[in-house]
Amino acid sequence: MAIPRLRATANEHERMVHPNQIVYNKMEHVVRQMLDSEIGVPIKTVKSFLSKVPSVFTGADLISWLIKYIAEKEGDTKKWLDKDKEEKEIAEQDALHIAHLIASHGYLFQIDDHVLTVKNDGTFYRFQTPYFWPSNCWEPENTDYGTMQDQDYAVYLCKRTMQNKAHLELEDFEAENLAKLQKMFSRKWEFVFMQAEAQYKVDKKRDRLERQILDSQERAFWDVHRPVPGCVNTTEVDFRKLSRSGRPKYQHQTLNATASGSCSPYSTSAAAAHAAQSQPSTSNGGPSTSTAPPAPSTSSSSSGSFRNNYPHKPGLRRCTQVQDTLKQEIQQLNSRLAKNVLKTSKVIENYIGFYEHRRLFDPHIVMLGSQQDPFQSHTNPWTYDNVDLWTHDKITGDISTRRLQLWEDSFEELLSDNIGRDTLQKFLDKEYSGENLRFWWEVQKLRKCSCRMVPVLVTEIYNEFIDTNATSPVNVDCKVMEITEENLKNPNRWSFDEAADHIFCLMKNDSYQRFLRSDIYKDLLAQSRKKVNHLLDVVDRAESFEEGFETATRQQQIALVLISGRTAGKCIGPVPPRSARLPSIARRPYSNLPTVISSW
Amino acid sequence: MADEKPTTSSSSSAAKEQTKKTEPASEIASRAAESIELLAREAEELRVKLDAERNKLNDIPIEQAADRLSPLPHTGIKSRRLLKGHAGKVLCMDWSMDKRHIVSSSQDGKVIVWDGFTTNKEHALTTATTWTMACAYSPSSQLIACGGLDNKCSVVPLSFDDDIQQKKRFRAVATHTSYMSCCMFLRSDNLLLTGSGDSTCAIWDVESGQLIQNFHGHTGDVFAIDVPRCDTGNIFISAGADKHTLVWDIRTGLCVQSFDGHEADINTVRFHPNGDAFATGSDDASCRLFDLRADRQVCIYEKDSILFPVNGVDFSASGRILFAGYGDYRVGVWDSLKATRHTTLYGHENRISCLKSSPDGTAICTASWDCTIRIWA
Repeated sequence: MAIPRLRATANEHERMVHPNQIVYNKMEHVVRQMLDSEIGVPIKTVKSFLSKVPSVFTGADLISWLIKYIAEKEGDTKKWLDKDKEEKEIAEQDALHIAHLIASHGYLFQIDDHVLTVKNDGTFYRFQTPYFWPSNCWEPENTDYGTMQDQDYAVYLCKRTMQNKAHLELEDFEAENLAKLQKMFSRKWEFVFMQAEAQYKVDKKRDRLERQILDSQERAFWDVHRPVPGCVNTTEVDFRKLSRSGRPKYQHQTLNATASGSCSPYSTSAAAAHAAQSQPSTSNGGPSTSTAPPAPSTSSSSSGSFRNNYPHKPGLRRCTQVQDTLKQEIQQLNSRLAKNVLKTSKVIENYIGFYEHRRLFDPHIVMLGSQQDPFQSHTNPWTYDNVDLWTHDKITGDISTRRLQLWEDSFEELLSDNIGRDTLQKFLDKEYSGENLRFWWEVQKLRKCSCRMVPVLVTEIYNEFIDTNATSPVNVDCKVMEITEENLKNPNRWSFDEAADHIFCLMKNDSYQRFLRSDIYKDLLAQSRKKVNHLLDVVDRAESFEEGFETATRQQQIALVLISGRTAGKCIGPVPPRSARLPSIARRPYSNLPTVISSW
Repeated sequence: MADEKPTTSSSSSAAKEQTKKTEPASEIASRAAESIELLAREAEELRVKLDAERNKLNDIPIEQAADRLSPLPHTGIKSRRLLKGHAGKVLCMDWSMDKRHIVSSSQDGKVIVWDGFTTNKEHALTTATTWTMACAYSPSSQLIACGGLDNKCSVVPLSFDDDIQQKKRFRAVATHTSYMSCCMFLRSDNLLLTGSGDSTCAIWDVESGQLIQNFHGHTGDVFAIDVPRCDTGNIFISAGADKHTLVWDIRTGLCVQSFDGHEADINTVRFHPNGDAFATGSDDASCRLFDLRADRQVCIYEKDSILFPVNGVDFSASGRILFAGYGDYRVGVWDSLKATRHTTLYGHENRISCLKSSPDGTAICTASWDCTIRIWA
């Protein structure tokens, strides 16, 4: 049972913390309550045939305990018996999943299976001893051959071959692992073998029941760290977190000393361990001897002065002097205090307003093409294996009602749609204010162009829209013009931003509103509605004599009618528009109403 | 009067030397320390005051304000596509603007371009590194960007011919001093925004590889970045190991707002579709909603029975639903306005590493350490 080397240095502060530690802590909190002798999971010793199975519990007991625990934790006062079937199922699924996760991290295990999972039945499970919990047994995964863990695994497998008992016989995958390890440690094999023998002798002296428990716990430990092929290895860590633990940020700057120190046991030895990791040959040396960069602990202990303890706040520029950083922070705090911010109720009102407007455009809330969908869009491609939603407009050149309504809902959506922008351009050209949109669009192009193009586009935009003898000058007020002229002394991709924003507001408050009332837009809308109505009407007629039709979605119905219409060679006659069919979308109450345009 | 200058805090040895030379130097140093203490106290007071001010504005909890809304209908979201083909953990994915193509990158350094609809693989590229932690589709769908442990972000044009010479087609655009953890194209194929383990973010010119702007201010690794859907505006957000989300002005490179609240690393950030708020997911197993105009946290999405980190969050098209991909293999579907968990989606067999809504909101896509990608609708 000796795997002491797996444990990191005994000293609590020196210990390297696992990147998964935060999860381990949370799970261990639950497991400790499970282990509680009074309120925990009932543990018993079961007699089976001629022998005894000590310290076990059933999967069913565990799950029912977890269901109760979760309900209690979440303040769910509803009694189990009062719940409907669906609620019960969800709670059970939840508990089962959590139990599975706890098991797959090795906190509990089925007594005679290598696969770490939990079933909600009478199968027996046993708790792992805290000594073997994953949080206690970690060393950085070393890709070079021969980590300490590998060696311990070799000793363990070697020991198993000596024990010569049916239930301890090596599984196929373990035998394979042993063969691999034997090759790897060929030079050290004698040592491995001796260790295994020594451990075997110690084990033999133990009480039979105690040995039974310990054997299973040791097996479960290796099932976590060397899982059965196909099982999830829960000890794997996210590389980003691993590499971070090795490099506390900006440790050379005393300013930051405790910023990393405050997340306590993490960084201190982590830096050292990282250094050790980079030279695997010396990894035995431990954190104290390795040539680690000055760990934060040294800097904070050498000088307890305030300046070294002052944590650096994210979001501030790094200054060499603490005063400057502090001054910067004070300035920032003051400006935040001075800033006008919204009340929570106001902000939420805003989310609700947005939701109520976009609800109809959210395929997760209003199913595409269902009875609730006022646009009678094509069905969701992912659910119905039909790509019409994406391709219909492209192929036919139509503009769907859905899209037109979205243009009406938001000016930004109209501009981000290429066809929408073209339509608006046509309308503006008719109104002799087309240069506004063209200017705005050119500025957008400039903002996202490649560096090489910046000077070219700046000159072009200036000559076309801004210059006193420009070909199509835009109307910006003198204040904005001044700012723009100032910007142009040092031209860059942001030079025309203020002017473009100004034009954007003009268009949004004036032209856009007129566009929505214009014949161009109304015609498009009528056209797209007519098509839908037309189809709907045919569907209605068809509904009267087709059985089982109602179960299909509107879209499928339309498709069916189209197909049947086409195959029969029928000509579907025009149908008077029925606007009542399509509830028009209410205008957004909070949108800016057309305001009087000032300062022209 | 060179001695008047307070000693720089970084060089304690220099300070020692100075004290040896002249006695007043130590006095000056102590005076400097005093003024630092004063400043620190002032900052602390301001911070308390700010907290109090912000708390005053928290007039009503979100659950109560959203009371009048009817509960979310049954969404019927199921796993609709399963993309198999990676041999290692899938670490990142991104949607193409054509709403059906997907690019994904994995631990073994492979980058695969899928037609998500048919589940066919259209391109498979091998990068020069393992742990390709980030990948992104360009708005025109003609380029992809990817990178990771190589500290670089490389760009590859997608074309159906000469796939054989793919290695040559990788072109490094961005270079960091630590791993590149996240990347995305900024509004066009010409600009690339990256975040890195060196705790900076940067914007690069794709054509020349020139650094256009960099963003210093994080005190830990940057794990996630996002820009608002809406084209106007000049901000983006980043978050990471320092538990803060910072809002940056793209033009000046300055941090204009910062949000804290999380108790552990932030793994993911995503703007609300209205562009004024954003959600974050963290190792502390919670998602939070922060609002730019309210300048604070508005809502927290957590449960005692959720123990695992959040690795991906995204909103539905209306902002009502918040999807969260967890380290416990599940997807949580939250009602963002009532702050309750609506449903849980089961399917993956290992940690979910990334979650994104499709551009038209018809589906969500999750990438997982179980080597698969799933599309849910």
